[in-house]
Amino acid sequence: MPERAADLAPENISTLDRLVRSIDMAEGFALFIARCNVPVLRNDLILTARQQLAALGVAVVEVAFEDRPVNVRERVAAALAAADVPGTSESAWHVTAPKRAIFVTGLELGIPYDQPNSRVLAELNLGRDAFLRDAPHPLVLWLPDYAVTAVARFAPDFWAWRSGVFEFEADAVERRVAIEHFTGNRPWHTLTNLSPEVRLLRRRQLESLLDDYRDLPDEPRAIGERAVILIKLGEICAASQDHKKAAAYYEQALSLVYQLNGQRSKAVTLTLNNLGLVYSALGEKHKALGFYEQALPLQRQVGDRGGEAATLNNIGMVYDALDEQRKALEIYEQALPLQRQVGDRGGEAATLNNIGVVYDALDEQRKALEIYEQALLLSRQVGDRGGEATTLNNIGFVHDTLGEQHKALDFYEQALLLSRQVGDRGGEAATLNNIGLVYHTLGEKRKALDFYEKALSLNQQVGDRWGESITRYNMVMVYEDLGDLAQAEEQLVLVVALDEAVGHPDLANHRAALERVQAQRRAAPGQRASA
Amino acid sequence: MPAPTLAKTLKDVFNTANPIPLQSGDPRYVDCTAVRGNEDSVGQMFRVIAWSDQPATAQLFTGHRGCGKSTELFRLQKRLEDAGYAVIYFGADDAIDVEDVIYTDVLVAIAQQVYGGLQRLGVKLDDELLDDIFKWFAEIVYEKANTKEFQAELAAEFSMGAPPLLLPLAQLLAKITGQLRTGVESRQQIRSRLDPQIAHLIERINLLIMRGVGTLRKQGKQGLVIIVDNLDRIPFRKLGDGRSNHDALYIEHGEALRSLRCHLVYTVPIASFYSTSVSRLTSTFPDRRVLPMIKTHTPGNQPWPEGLAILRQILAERIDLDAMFEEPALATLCAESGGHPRILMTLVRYACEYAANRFPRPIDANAVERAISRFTSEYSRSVPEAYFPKLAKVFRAKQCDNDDAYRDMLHNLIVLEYMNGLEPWHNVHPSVQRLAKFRSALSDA
Repeated sequence: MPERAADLAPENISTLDRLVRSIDMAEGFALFIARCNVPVLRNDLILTARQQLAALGVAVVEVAFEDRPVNVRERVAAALAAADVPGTSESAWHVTAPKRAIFVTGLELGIPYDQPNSRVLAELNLGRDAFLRDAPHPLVLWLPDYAVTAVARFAPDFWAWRSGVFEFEADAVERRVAIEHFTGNRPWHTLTNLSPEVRLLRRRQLESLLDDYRDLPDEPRAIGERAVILIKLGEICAASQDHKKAAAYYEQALSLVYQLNGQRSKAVTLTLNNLGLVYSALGEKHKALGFYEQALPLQRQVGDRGGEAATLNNIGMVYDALDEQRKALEIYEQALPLQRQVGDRGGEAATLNNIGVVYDALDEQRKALEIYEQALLLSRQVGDRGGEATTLNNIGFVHDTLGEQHKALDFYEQALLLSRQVGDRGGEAATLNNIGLVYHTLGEKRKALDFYEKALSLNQQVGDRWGESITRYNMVMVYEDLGDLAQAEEQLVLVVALDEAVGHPDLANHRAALERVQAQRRAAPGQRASA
Repeated sequence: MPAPTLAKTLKDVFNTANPIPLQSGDPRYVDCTAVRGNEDSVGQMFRVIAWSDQPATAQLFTGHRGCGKSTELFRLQKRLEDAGYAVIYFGADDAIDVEDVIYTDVLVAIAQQVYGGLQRLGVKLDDELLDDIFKWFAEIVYEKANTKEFQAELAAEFSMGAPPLLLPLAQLLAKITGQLRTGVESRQQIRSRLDPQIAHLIERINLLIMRGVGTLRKQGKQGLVIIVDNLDRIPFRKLGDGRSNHDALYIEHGEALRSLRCHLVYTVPIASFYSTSVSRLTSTFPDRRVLPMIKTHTPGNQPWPEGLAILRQILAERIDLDAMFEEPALATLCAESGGHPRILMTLVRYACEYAANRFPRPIDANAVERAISRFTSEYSRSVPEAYFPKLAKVFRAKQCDNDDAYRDMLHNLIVLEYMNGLEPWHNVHPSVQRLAKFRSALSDA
């Protein structure tokens, strides 16, 4: 354990003294709220408080939520029970037990930043009296600022029982340490791969951290750090498929990085590209193009050919999505020479892969296979197993289209292996989904459903509602073939709900499909929904 | 209950200044009737029940959070029991998900509490009646026609390895209330099945009540009273088309709530008396009581010595004031509470933290001032920016309008209600008055 206690700022030390003193005075239940926006500081404070309380004979029981908290009181009671020394009898316990204090962290996971009136607050507010009974000890809730306000507003009965709010302020060094925790270059799928709970935790931490910058003077260092937080927030929201929120954060970041570095900086063009990606995901393809087209001339002015190629690649994908395949090919062809000039073989492989996708869409499957082979070679040369897996998956898809189902399965197996090696659960889910399609074609409907289920469970682990919608729709196709309209309807209801949540462009079609199935079911008497 | 010793150390002061409601008969209880500015609420509610020639009455009771409602209801329960009534008291928060509640939930919770309460009171109900009620709930809620099979299912569900402790009807009602409380999907289903059957539901509950009351009377009891506390914690929510969840519960379904054949006391949020549909509420429930704040000042902002003296007495029942407080500081603390007993306790707790390191009278002007300033800054979290112009208006007029913002202010103790006789008036909490934003809103207008 690092000896950081000595590093605490004098104001924080005196606030902590008051908190410790109050805990020491309190007998039975008493509620204290400790406000701190920066996790590193909070951890130091908790460590120091533990030591000081231990010296006073008070043992701290810590309850740390790592997911949306439910049954807070029961969790606290369970932690208390677990803290009791085993083997001592009830009567002996009362004589020898040390005084306890309960520290709760992570409640903010259940308190959305922009919609704080949440379930966990209602639970605290209503369950207030039960804390007296189940946790008759001083209770300290460690919360970021916005969550403290949320408790005051939306859990007023609980709030009214507080015996003090203790406000701790982070200094510049502590804030910087907190930011470093979130930076560093990691591949995209490390974000999309995180469980939704971990992404949520990061998002709350970043949002709280941002609050600490609200009242700071506008000096370059603070602006830069604020921009980094906003960009990281954008990334985490995009990875969680909350693209609207991601766009809002990126837009705020954009104006800061402009202000800080001028138009031509790499930070600006990267942010423009990120904005393009989220608007593209939101289906606003023309808006996305607008951002990419802002980035291109800036990159050309400073001669950032690698960046230019990446932007062109993104533009190509938009045209592909707009069904302008010829235009997409044209753009990709511009990206390739740039990537070759700067020796970016990984990027070249990605572009080739995208070109293959276009040829596949143009029904030029042989041509697509040729291009994919080139992409595969490059990916292997640079050791990009993630990219290799993507291309193998796409090759499998081509073979499926060509009616070569068994060949398709071979490639999917290879893709699966690599996705698992690099831990890309999103990619793995996509391939499993495709394997389901193959088995459906082969008439092995039960086997198809098995693979769809496997894909679903991965989609849900990483919170990919988009992928989940696609796979569920594929299941509908199987159920319809099986004549199981009840199951088909059940899945379609979920598909429509998922589409609504992510703004899926096929929403209208899927709704129509649902109505069609419902009409069919009404026309087929004797089939009743199982409750 | 033995008289508690007075707190003479900071630690004792900190612990006795506890905001938890007093139990009935606690010697620390102080009768605040006169200074609250109204008549004795408990006495009035008692008389409505005791003087009625009907076996059934229905009353509403309200007041600010933490103003002493539960303490007063405990007193009512004691007084009724002393007068020979059987009383079933329960906190709605224990039985219902107050966050999302509709009238059928309340009725089912009452059914469960009545059945449990009658058992605790030693009332034996005949098996035929219980079977009939079991059968009804089983069929309506779970579409189970085979009683025997369903009872076995329930027994298995409830035993979890141990022999079942509850009788079948108790198990069934516990299952239903459990699902209403925690199961989001099953909740909707149960409601949609009970809603069209509401007359039958009430009839079944009344069967329980009337048989129970019959037996209670034979035991010499005067009747049965059900007190539902903490229903006032239902957070206010708009349902669209201008209705609120409060209106839906107490106004649209008020008749259902009052149709049980015993004496009923429901708590309601204070804000519901400031609803635009308050006249419909009063026509359904003509008997309503408000427990106002203790007056610390007059509507003309002059100190009200009688009220301040009572607040001081509330502390004197717990604390050796001479030993612990400096004099003008104590008066400041009492005035700052706004006449709200729990806030008074919170302020005392805060002052302990800043107390001087000397005896006697460690809680001095400095400690009180720091306690107040900290409490004020914490209060600012409860007050959204947009409220300040409205608050300036309340401060000047000493009255609230009927709108959502004001309801929220009453709900969150930003604005307090006082009484002059039967005339309510309002003021902004003293700590809110200290906020810079309030002062600038006041000078703006």
